[in-house]
Amino acid sequence: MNDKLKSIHAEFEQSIVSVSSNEDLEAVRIRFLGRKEGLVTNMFKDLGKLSVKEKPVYGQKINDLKNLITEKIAQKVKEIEQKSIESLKSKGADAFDLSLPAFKNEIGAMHPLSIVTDEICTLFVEMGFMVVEGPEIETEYYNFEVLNIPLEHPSRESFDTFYLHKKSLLRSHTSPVQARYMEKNKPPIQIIVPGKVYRPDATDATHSFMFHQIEGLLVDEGITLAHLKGVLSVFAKKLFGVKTKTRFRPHFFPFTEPSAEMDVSCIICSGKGCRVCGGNGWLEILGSGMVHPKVLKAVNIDSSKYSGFAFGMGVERIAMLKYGIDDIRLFFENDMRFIKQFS
Amino acid sequence: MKISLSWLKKYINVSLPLQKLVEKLTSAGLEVSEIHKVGSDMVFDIEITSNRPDWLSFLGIAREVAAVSGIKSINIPKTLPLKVKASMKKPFSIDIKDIKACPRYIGRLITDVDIRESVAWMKAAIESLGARTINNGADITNYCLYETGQPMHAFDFDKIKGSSIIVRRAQKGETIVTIDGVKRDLDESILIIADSVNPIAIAGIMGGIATEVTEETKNILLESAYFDPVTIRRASRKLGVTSESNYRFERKVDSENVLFASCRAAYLYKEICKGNTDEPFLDINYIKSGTRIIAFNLENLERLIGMKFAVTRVKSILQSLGFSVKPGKGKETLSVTVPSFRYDVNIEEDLIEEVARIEGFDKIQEAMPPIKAHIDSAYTDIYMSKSKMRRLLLAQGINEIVTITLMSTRSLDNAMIDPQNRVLVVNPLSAEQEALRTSLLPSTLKVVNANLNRKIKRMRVFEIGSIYEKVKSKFTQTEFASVVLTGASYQNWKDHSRQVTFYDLKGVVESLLDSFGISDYKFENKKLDYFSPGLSSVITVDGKVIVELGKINKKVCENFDIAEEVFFAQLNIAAFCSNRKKQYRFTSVPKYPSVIRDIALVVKKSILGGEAMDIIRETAGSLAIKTELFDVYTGDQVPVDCKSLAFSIEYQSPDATLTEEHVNSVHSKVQNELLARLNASLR
Repeated sequence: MNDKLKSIHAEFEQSIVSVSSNEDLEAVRIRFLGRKEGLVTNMFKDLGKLSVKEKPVYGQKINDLKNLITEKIAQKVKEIEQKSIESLKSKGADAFDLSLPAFKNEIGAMHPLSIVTDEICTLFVEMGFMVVEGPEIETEYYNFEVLNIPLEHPSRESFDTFYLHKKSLLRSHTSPVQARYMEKNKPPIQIIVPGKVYRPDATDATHSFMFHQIEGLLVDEGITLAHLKGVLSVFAKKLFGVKTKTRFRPHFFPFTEPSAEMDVSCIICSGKGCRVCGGNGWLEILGSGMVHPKVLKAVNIDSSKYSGFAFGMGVERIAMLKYGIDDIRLFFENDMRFIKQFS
Repeated sequence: MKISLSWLKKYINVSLPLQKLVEKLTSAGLEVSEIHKVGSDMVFDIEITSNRPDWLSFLGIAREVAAVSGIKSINIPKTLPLKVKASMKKPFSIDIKDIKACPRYIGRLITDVDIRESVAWMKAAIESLGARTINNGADITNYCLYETGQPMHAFDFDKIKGSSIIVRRAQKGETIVTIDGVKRDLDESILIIADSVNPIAIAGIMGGIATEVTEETKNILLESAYFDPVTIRRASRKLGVTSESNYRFERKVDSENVLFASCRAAYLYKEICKGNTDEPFLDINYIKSGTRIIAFNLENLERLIGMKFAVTRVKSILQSLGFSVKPGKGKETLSVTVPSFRYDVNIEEDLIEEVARIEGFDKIQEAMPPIKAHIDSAYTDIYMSKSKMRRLLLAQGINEIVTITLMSTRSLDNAMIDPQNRVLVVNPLSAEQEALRTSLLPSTLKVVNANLNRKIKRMRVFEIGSIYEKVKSKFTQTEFASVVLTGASYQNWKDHSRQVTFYDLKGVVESLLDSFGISDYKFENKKLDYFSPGLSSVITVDGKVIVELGKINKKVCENFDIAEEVFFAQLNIAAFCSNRKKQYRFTSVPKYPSVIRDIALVVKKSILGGEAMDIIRETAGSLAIKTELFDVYTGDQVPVDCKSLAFSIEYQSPDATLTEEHVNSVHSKVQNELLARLNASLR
């Protein structure tokens, strides 16, 4: 047994020296470690013939030899690889240079506002909402009156809205679409409305006279403020992560009653307080509320039977928070070095 | 509204620690935005929503603090008696000419006042809010403004000519120098307080300098009034003046508080300025005080909030806010009387909000609404078409941009956009907001220019957005996709690069048409102002233009400071949507082999490649399944005025393997037709 092992070892050492290619190496491996007829493999088969006392001793020895051979083969693989790289280099220009840049097929970058709009709409579509759009050129009726914003309301004065002529204007929010949709459709209503809106603000890092909003509306029998909280909390978790906490503060909007603003726990500091959230741990994300009975009445929906909630948010603000963008003007400058960060 | 904690404590025993108080106020809808330390005092800033003018005072805030912290009542400050004594003599007169704009005016004469610097506590209180102090005569009205929410004005009585107060519209040409020293032009839209000769104050906004209370003043006429919010707002905007006073009148002051505030200020003039307040006051009041009573059914509370409240809880919340509550008709119904300062409460839902707000929205358990399956698609066809177009353009390596839809008319002119049908903004803040775009071109060219300036020369961008037009006084909004290519078409180390050409843009457009399954379109040369002559075309379906594409001409490029060649297309999304292939039908995959034959022609340069393609298609019919132009050559091998066109035609029959003879006969027919009709020769 010992002799046999020694001679196999000697033969291996001899053959491995002369190996120079992967093919030769594979032949050597098969000769010694091949599963069917490998010399070392066969030695294991012979173990059965030995006495109980000898078995472990030789078993160990055969194993040692197997390990040694395996290790040397692995070493040889590396040697061959190294040699082939060296030979490539020495051959110079004739070699195929795999390291040169690829001929890439470019994929365009989606605008960050489209990414966020898409993401938010999809989240609501997953909850059963339908995506609806409406005109940007609106009438005073749909932008204000139907939404219970009376003539004396400050936002009606011309400096807060772009007027096109007397009764026509550029919508200052996406809420008119709510009313337009409710006029034409009976409950259950479950819509999400993305779009451009306009307000004559002076442009700075956080204001743009054109920006984007997403509006939502759900009207049915038995809809409560508890549902508003439920749906919007799920939305916040889907958009900013499952650990996001929400807080609802009473607020005032003419077209909802009760009205609430929703804050989310700061996505930068998770609510500990930082520069972005002004140290209080909360970020204001959207306005919401139960649809005002006057609005339902104006669109011929019986408020004693149906109730609903509505909400609206600014896309730029959410995109700025989500991506850490510090200036709203970047969205509309369309510097390719900005856009391509979102591909 | 800034609130000093030590001042607030005059009206309510605030037992909560400040942090806790701030949280409670925020959760009740009074969002505390900032907290500062001022000396030993704490001052916090509360954002007041426009529906709650009653919160623009310490008493209003104190009432709210009482409600959120469960305190029954607040300390009402001392006043002179609220009853009017029968007047014996009339030392002055009040004449209201416009009772709609001023339905209540209380004038009160306080004589023998001692005007000097204010007492320390009052100075400290006013200054803690960041406001200026002047003298005790003026400071008392200011102090009462913050305390009660009612703006008042003190006139130097001896300077009021004719001892008469006239509330009227100003006349055009009248002027007044206000206490800030500015001379202001007045007109009929502005309500003023006048004496028998001159305007002495702009009602609700600012007093005049001529009747200002100074240290020489002996007698004061104290004004406390209710002015119409709209009148005051318009005047304030017109004059460009805003003050703590007009801010409150614009949001509506409490008409009953007008009297309370006057009696409070009078008390302070007596105490601080040692004034004589024995003179009766005049209260001209046209306001009919009607009490509002709302039937409140608690079932509706649960129906809207999704949470049950005990009747006792509802009652105590409403009472703590100043409502009076009695049992109503029906079991679960309360009869609620609204206090005069709550203009915002008119219907049951308003009461529901009050209850939910004070209880705290955080107490309401979240729930998911029952969701009903609906048959309608979650997306409209047009929305789907936009999404599809966006995906297809992105897949071709084109980047999305979003630009501002408002622009100067000059930008539109610079891009040579037809000046017809423009939508103009009546009240732009700047030239950049003059008009809505009637084309996607100008804003796109601005993006190209901005990037070129940053040394980004290769641009492949698209935008999906609307253009806006006014056609016969009706507004329209149409959605388009724009595509712009400029710079290198491709760039790599092996093939180097090639500048984009018209055919690159045409390729993008045709790939979109293919993907929408639109095949029956026509390509036509059409001259459009902003394109280079000869490189200007449209694609039509049923005679309607659905795409325009071409090379932007030199003039337009110069106008936008662009030196590169720019190719631009604008695609009508609704047209793509309505012409898209809506259904697909399977036809069997060809079983029999195809045969490819090439043909190279020499034709006059004026012959269009498209004409040859049409002839091939026409002649070979359905047998030619594919025709490709694989080379266009001009040069030494052909005459100077000629070019060579080389086509590869693939023949295939769905029914049988084509025989050599069959293919030959069709191909030679094609060849003959080409030679004859194009006056061509074989190469």
